[in-house]
Order: sequence, then structure tokens, then C-alpha cells
Amino acid sequence: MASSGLELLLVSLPQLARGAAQTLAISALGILFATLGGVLYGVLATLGKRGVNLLLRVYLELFRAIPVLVWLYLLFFGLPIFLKVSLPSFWCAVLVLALWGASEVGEVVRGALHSLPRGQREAGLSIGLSAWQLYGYVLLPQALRRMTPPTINIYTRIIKTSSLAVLIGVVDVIKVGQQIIERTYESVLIYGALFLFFFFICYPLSAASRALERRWTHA
Amino acid sequence: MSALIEFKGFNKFFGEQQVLDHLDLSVQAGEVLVILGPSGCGKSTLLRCLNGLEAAHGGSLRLDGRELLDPRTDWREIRQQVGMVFQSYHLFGHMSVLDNLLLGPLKVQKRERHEAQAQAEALLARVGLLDKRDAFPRQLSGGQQQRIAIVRSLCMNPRVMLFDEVTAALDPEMVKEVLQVIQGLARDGMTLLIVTHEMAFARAVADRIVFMESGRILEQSPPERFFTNPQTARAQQFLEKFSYVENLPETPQKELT
Repeated sequence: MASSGLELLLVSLPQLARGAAQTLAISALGILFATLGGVLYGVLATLGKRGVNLLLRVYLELFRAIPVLVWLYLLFFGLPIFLKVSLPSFWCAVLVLALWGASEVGEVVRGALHSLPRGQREAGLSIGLSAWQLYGYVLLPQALRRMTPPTINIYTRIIKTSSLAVLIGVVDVIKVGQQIIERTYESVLIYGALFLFFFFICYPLSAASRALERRWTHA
Repeated sequence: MSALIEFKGFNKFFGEQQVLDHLDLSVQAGEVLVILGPSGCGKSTLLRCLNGLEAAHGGSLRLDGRELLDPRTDWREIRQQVGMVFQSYHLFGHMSVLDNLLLGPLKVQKRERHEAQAQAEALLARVGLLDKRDAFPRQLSGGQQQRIAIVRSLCMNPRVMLFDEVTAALDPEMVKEVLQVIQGLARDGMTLLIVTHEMAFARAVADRIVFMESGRILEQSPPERFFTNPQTARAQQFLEKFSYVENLPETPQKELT
């Protein structure tokens, strides 16, 4: 039994690896765009423009109030109906994770920028820096410490949430696992493997986040 | 001689409250102006308007004949000519002293590194802090940080320097080292607008004292006259509050010179 289980795992490995590659690709792209979008959100939210803040607020609340799964269905099934465009399920998943992640990362960036003394902004402006230079050289580098640990935690949530992509037909590592289970009924073994897969990706990230937090709060 | 800086009928509001009320003030090139007045009289706001950190609500403000309240004004360019030093220094904490000093010259003015660095080092030497070139702000005392902040502004080669209560956050024993730097600039003939509560310093350094209350200028006079014979009752009252310090046998004024 043990050897047959091991055999099954070995045989399934290429298939699982392809699924894992999908999961990792969706997560990585989601994280990349969530980070870029989140920094943009944070910068926009600290410009002090009322109209911009209102728009960001609406965006944030939409992604807080509506479950990610509903967003996935909305984009995957809704876009073809309402806008006559259809996105492949892979990119649909990336887009939803990026938009949701950007709202979460954005709030972290906004908070980190907000926590800097107001004088930093004024001192930067007083030597003639442009807004871009002010954020690029003065504000964001100083906010980095405060925003990195919570942002890494959001990354782990993006990775875990990427598993919802199964529901719009992405063949990710979980879908592959289910296919193998349907064939072999080895649910404990396969789910065990999936458990280890997610654990070994997410645990180092959250450990790194905690370590950075410890190091930086004592520095 | 036309004025370098000229406020005319200048208005500024914070919400409903008028903080600068039809203010007229002109400053000649090379003049050292000290602005005195009770807290909340608008003296800091006056400086901040000159640097574009606060927007005005009417009137006219000219720098070298150019109207700054024109919406097309490029404040980035004006700020290079009008340096500002703050009460709490606001050095960039993630950068070394030298990087703090070079950020503006290199990124804003696009100057050559060796030239800008030579100037920065010369100025550091002048304020006695060349050995702190590679230190980080948190490793320095308040007085040292404030001297660096002054040098950071000077590195932009401004025509005017604004000092907004720059010794108010310092421990008493560090006040003098900062004031001496400002006094050196005054001797060099730089145009200075200084907001301070150091009366002895004001008296020693100013060409003209401007006394403000409630967003208006009540009195402008040479320092000797202002401190010995103020023209308005309000200025007299104001000075009486400081007289305890003024009448001590060893007044800070004597230590300064």
C-alpha cells in the first residue's frame, strides 16, 4: 500500500507539477499586479485629492464587500454577456486576484505613507522635488519598512485564494489533484500532497514577514 | 531699488478663519527680517506661503517682480530660489547626511555630482560637521541635524532663506550653534526671513523687526527701536512677557556676539 501510494505520487508528479505551475503563475502574476496597483493606490490616496479619494473608497469597498468568488463569476461569465468580451479563465483569475490584492496592498501602502511625519513631504517639496521624486526618493523608501510585513501576509492570502480559480475552469494544482482522486480514490494522499505544497510556499513567506517585523520594530 | 519680495493685500484663510489679513510687506535683497508675534499670529503661515507650502487666497506676492499667485507659477522652480528650514529639521531619515544634501542638487537641479558634492562638503565644513558626512540623521543631535538641514537648503543656492522657528525644538545648549550659522549667513548678505522666539537673537541679527498679530503687521522698525521703544501697546505687552529673560544679568544676546 505504502509503495503503491508512493508510486502513485511519482506517476502523478508531472501532472501535479503542471497544475502547480498554473497555481504559481496565477499567484505570481496576481502578486505582481497587486503590488504595482497597491503602490499606485497608496500614492493616489495620499495626494489629498477629494475626488480621487472617493473613487478609491468605492473601489476598496466593492472588493471588501463582494467575495472574490463572486468577482470571478462576474468577470468570467458577466463580461461576455455585458461587454461582449471574454477573458480566458487564467487571465480572469489573475485580474481578480490583482484587483482584490491591490485594494488590500493599497490600504497598507496608504497607511504606511500616512504614518510618516508630514514634515518629510514638506521638506521634500521645499527643495523642489516633483511629486514623483518626492514619492520615489523620500516617502516610499521610508514607508517600505512599515508596509513590507503586512504586504507579505497579503501575498500568502493571494496564493491561497488563487485556488478559487478552479471554479471558473482553471486547471490548477487543486483541480489536478481532484482529477487524480477521481481516478484513484487516494484522497488522503493527494490532499496531503496539496497541503504540503501550499504549506511550503506560504509558511516561508509568513515566517519572513514575522522576521522582518521583529527586526524592523527593534531597529 | 525694487523689492526682492513683495506681499500686497495678501490674504490667507484656514476655513473661516483669516490668518493673513490684507498684509503688505516688502523685503529688499540682502535684508534680514525677523518676524515676531504671539503664537497663531500668522508668521509661520507667511513663510509657508512664500514657499508654496500654503496656497494664498488673494492679493499679490511677487518675487523679483514675478507674480507668484499666478496659477501658472512653477513652484518647483521658485522653491529652488527660496530655501526653507523647519522647526523639526525633517532630514530624510533613510539617507546619509551627504545624500540628504545632494538629493536636491542632483535630482532637481541635475548638477554634476563632483561639483555638488564639493559644495556640500565645503558647507558642511563651514558648519563644523564635515566629519558627519556619512552619518545618518538618527545618529546626530538636534542641533547637528538642524545645521545639516540649513546646509541642505543652502546647497540649492537659494536667493532667500526662510527660517521657521528653527531653534524651538532644540535643547537650550544647542540653540547657539544653530543661531551662529544663521548669523553667518546674515553677514554674508543673504536675504533672510526669520520667525523666532529668541528675542536676543532677533535683536542681534535683524535689519528690521516685523511685529504681527492676528494676521496683520502692527509694527515694523529697526531692532533697537523695537526693543527699546516699541510703538504699539500690543508690542509692548508682547515684549514684557519676555522681559524676565531680557533683564537677567547675562542676557543670551551678549553670548551670541
